[in-house]
Amino acid sequence: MSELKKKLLIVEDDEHVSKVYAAKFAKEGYETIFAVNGEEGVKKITEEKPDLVILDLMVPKKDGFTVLEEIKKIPELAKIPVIILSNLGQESDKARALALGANEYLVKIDNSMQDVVDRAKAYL
Amino acid sequence: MKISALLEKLMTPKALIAINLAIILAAEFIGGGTYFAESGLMHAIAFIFVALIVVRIFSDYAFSDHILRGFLKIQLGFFLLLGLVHVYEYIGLHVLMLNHEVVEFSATTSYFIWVVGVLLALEFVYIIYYKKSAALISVLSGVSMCGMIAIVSLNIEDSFMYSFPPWANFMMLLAIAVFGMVGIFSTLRVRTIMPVFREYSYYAIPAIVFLVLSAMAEYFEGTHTLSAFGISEIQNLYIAHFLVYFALSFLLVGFGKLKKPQGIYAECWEAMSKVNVHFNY
Repeated sequence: MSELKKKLLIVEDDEHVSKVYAAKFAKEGYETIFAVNGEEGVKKITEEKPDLVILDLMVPKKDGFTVLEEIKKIPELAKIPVIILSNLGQESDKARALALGANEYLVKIDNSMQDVVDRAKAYL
Repeated sequence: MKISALLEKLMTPKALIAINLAIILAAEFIGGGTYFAESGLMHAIAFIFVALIVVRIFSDYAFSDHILRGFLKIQLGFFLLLGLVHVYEYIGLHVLMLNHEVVEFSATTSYFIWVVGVLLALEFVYIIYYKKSAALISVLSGVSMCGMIAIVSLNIEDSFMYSFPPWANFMMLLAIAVFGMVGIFSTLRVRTIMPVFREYSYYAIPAIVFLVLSAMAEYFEGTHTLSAFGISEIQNLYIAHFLVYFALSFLLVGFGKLKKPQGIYAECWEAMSKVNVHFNY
């Protein structure tokens, strides 16, 4: 029997970044689903219960901090690891995200795609 | 080769240094150093920059992020205005023979509008980041609109110019300097918040400085202040225009840096190029 593929949710409004990631993760044998804003992100995390969430902080409708805050309040979702992948680079933003329960904080311009994939694999 | 691809090659720092050096040498040495001023070529050179700005506007950018997209749309719109005003200077002074003072004041006002545009684009980022109201955006939009109305009104009825108090030009220069300073601090702040603006800021900040200096030179041209230091009116005109072309060149490179940031964006760009998917603004 084939092993069930691990599922990742990418919450990202930059459609192209999402698609390139999907291709990269598919190559590694993972299934990828998307949300283009924070509201959709919370909905998909609740419904799909992914194995990992890659979350952008500056997304429309509900920002990444709020998404993080909301899911960490729900016990069955709180255990899902979250990697922040954002354009925000201030230490205060990083500290806030980690305090809210994010597992990793990566800045888009300072990390390669492979860095993100490698960090994701550590939680899958 | 497509014209846009050729123009894209002119937007490297080396090519822009060469263009600016060629402008300086040609202006200073052709026709005894006065031909570029008398023929209006000094203003007409702006056509090259407008073409480059248009190419930059329709360049491919390695992201479709809503914040970066909004920032770019605002900035590039005001950038085009900054290029076009020199085309207007050429047509106004050498083709339509408009009132010299009106044309000069319109140009200086457009510098002010551009600096306001820089603040507007940055404020667009801040209202999302700080979740603040759009009140300042409304104020800045109103200010830039007033500037546009002033330019249009003066060009329709140039007698308005004579109703201005003698210190109007100085106030405009002061406003450009103050807003320019705020623009510099605001650009420094945005690159701390979002490192994706880091490289862009290395070029945008000098561009603001050059533009403020150019506005000062334009002001001194009107007041003949520099003649006390042995600088002729023609040299004053040249200095003002060399500075503004430096500013435009820095901005062209700066937007080029923002077009293709590092990190994951560099890989996205590569992937996009392979499948020929691009984002225009």
